[in-house]
Amino acid sequence: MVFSNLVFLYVFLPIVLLIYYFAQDKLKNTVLLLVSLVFYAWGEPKYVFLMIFSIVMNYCFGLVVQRSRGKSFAHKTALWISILANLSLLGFYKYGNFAIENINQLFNLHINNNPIPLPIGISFFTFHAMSYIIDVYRKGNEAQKNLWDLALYITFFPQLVAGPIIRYNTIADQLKNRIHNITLFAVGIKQLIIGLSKKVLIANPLGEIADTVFATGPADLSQSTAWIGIMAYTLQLYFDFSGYSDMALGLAKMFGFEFPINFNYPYIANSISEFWRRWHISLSSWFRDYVYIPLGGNRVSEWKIYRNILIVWTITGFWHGASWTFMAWGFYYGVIISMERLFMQNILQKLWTPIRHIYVIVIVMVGWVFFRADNFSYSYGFIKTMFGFGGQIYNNQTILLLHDNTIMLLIAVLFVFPIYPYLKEKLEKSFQTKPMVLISKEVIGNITYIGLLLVVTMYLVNSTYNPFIYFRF
Amino acid sequence: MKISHYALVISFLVVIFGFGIVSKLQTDRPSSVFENRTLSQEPVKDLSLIRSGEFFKQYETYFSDQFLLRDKWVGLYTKLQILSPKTFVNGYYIGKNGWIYNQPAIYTPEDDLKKSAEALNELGKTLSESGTKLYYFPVPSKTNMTQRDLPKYLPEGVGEKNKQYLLSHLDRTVVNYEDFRPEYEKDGYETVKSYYYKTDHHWNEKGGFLAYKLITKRIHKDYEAVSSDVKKSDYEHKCYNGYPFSGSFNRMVFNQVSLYADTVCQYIPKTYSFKDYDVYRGAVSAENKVPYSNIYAEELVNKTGTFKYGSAFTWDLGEFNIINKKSQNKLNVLILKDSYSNAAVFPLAHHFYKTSVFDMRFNREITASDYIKNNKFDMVIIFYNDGNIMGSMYEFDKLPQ
Repeated sequence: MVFSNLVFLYVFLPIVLLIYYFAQDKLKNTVLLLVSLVFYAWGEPKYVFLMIFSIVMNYCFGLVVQRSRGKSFAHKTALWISILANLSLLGFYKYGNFAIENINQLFNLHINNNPIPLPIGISFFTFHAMSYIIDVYRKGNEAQKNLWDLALYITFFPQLVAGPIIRYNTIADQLKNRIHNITLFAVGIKQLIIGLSKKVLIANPLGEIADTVFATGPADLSQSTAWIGIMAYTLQLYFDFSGYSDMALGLAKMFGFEFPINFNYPYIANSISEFWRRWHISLSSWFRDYVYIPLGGNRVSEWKIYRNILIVWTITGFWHGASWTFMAWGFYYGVIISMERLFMQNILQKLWTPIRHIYVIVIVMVGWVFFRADNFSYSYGFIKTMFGFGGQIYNNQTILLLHDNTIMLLIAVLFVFPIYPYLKEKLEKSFQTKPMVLISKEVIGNITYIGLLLVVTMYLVNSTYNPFIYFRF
Repeated sequence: MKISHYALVISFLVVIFGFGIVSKLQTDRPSSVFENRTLSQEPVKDLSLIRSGEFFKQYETYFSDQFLLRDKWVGLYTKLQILSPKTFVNGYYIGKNGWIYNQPAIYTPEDDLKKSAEALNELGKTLSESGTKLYYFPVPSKTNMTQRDLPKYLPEGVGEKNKQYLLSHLDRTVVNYEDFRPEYEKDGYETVKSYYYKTDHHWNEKGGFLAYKLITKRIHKDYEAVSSDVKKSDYEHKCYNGYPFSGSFNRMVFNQVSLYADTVCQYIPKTYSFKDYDVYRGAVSAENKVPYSNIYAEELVNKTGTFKYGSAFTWDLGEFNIINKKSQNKLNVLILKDSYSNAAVFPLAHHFYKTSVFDMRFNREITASDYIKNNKFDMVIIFYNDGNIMGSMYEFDKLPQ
C-alpha cells in the first residue's frame, strides 16, 4: 500500500487510529505490528512470509551475537553469518536475475533466468535488520528479547517500504515508552499533509513531464526539451522521495514515534559532498557507519580513502537497483566526491556562491540521467543532446512543454528552497508580541492544511498516475 | 496553541473518518455518465485473488470509483485544469466558440496500418471469389479535419498521412475504396466545420448526409440500379432548437462547454418515409421486428431528455436489418460500420432492398467473417471514420475483446 492512496487515507488510517488509540497501552505495539503486516500484505501478500522469515532469522541472530560476546571468533562468526544471510536474501530477490543475465552473457551460457518479482521494500527492511545486528555486535546494545518489539521495529508501516532507514538505537526506547500528545499528533498531521502535497500536487505532475520527455526518441529530442525533462525529473525525485519521508515522519508522530529527518533541502548544497549530507540522509549515514568506517574510513592512507569512497558509492548505486547504470551512477558520485576531496573543494570555496550551486545542480542532473535511463547508450545520447551535441535547439514539443508546465516548474523550484521555514520563523519573530496575528496565523494555517488535504483528495480521485519511485528499491 | 492543535486534529479526523464512512455506506453506482464508463464494483473476496494481490488492486480501483462525491471531485479537477495553462484538459483542447478537439495522432504505426491493409485485401479477395464487391470508405473524421484549429505549437497531426499510407497498400482490384476528404474540403474550412458537432467527436446531419450522397454516387458507378439522385431538396431539414446536447467530448471535460453549443438537426425524407421500412433489431425474424423509431432518432421523436449523437440518429447496435420493400432493386447489402455511419444508414437503406448493419465492437457471438459467410451479400460496405484505420475493427475473423 502507498500513503498517497484513497484506501490508505480514508480506510486504513482511520481504522488503525481507532484501534490504536482505543487499545490498552500494553497492546499498542501488537496493534501496530499487526496493522503493519496488513499494510505490507496489501500489495504483495505472499512476501509477508518472507519478511516474517527475515524478522525471526534476525531475532535469533541478535541473541546469538549477544550471547557470543567475549568469544572473539564465535562473536565475529555470528555477525558475518547474519550479514551473509541478510545479503543472500537481498541478493536472491534483488540481484539474482542481474547476476544470471551477466553470467550468461559473459560465459555464453543459457542458465534459466525467470524474472523474480522484487519484494516491496526488501532493501529497506534488510538494512534495518542489518543495522540492528551490527549495533548489537559493535556497540554492545542489548539484543531485543521481545520478538514482537523487534518485529515492530522492522515492519513499522510508516518506514517499512520506502524508509527512512531508522537505526535500532533511535527507536529502541520509543518501542517501550513513548509519549502521545495532541501537539505531536498535530505536528504529525501537518507533516503528513505536506508530504502528501509534495508527492501528489508537485511530484506526480512533474513525473508526467519527465515521462513525456524520456519517452521521446533521440531523433525527436531537442536540446531545450532534454533540459526541461531532466529538470522535471530532478525536481520530481526530490518531491517524490522527500514527500514520502515527510509522510513517514508525520505518520510516525501520530503514533508517538519521532524519526530523524531524511532530507534537508539538498538542492541548495554548495558541493556534492554536502548534497549527500542533505539527500536521503538515513541511507548515506548507513553506508558511512556500516561500510565506509569499517573499511577504514578516513583513518587510512590517502589512496585507501579514495578506494573506500569509490567502493561505498558504487555499492550505494547498486543498492538503488540491479543494473550497471545504477552502479555507474554511484561510481560517478564516488569520483566527484573524491575529486572534491582531492582538490575541488578548495577551488569551490573561492567561487561565487551561485556558481557553486550551479555546479552542484548540473552534476546532480547529469547523474539523474544515468539514474533514469535503462542503458548507457540512452544516457549518452541524452547527455549529448543536453550539451548541444545533437538535436535542434528547440521544437514544437519544447514550446508545448513550456506552455503547459512553466508555472508548475517554477512552483517546484520555489519549494526546493527553504522558503517556508524561513517565512514561518520571520513571521513568528515579528509578531510574537501580537497575539491576534499569531492566532490568525494558526487559524489560516489549519485551514490551509485541511484545504491541502482536500485538494490532494481531489487529485487522487482523478489520478491514475501515482507511482512512488522509491518503491523500486 | 493547544486549541489550534485540537482544531487541526479534529478537522483532520472528521475529514478522514467522514469521507471514509460515507463512501462505504452510500449505495454503489453502476456507471458514470460523465466519464462514459462503468464504475468498478466491490471485488469478490476470493482467496486466489487475495493471494495474488489482485483483490487489493481491484479494491483500490473500486474505492476510488465509488468515492463520495466522485463526480464533484472530477468536475472540480477539470475546472482547475481549465484555469491552468494546460493545452489539453483530460486530453481535450477547448477552443473558441465552444469547440472541443481531441489530440491528433502524431505517429505513423506502419506495421499496424499494413495489417489493416492486408486484412482488407484478404477480405476483398475472399468476397470477389463469390462475386461480392467490397467497398471501403474511410470517411473524414472530426479529429483529422479540424486540426488547423489546434494551437500552432502542437506537433503536427499525421492522421491524413496515416490514411494515405493505408490506402496506398490496398489492392484496387478487390477493394473499391474512395477518399471523400476532397469533397468535404472543396467549399472551404468553414464549410468543413459545419459538418461536425462542436462538442462531440462525430459529424452532424450535414456530414452524414454528404457521406450518404457520395457513397450512393460511388456505388451507382457499379450498379446502375442504385439511384444516385440524392438531393437535399428531397429532405426536410428539421432542427430541434432549445434542446440540450451532450457531446462526447463535452462529457470528457465534464460539460465545461454549454450543452446548447450544438443544435441537433435531421434530414427527414419528403419523397418516402422511414416508417415504410421493415426494421429488425437483430437478425431478420418476426420477434426482432420493431418500429423504425425503436432504433432511429428515439429522442428526437420523443423530444425528451438531453440529446446525444446516438439518440439523434441510431445507437451503436451489434446488428440490425432494414428491408425496403419499395426498393427498385433486390440488392442485399452489408454495412460494416462504426458510429460515424449512424447518421447515414437510414437514408442509405432507401437505395437497397435489404440493408444489414453490423458493428464488430458489439457482436460477441459471431465474427464479421462468419456473418458474411452465413449471408449472401451483393456488396459489403465498410463505413468507418478515418481515425479508425487500424486495430481490432480490422480483425474480421476475431470476436471483440
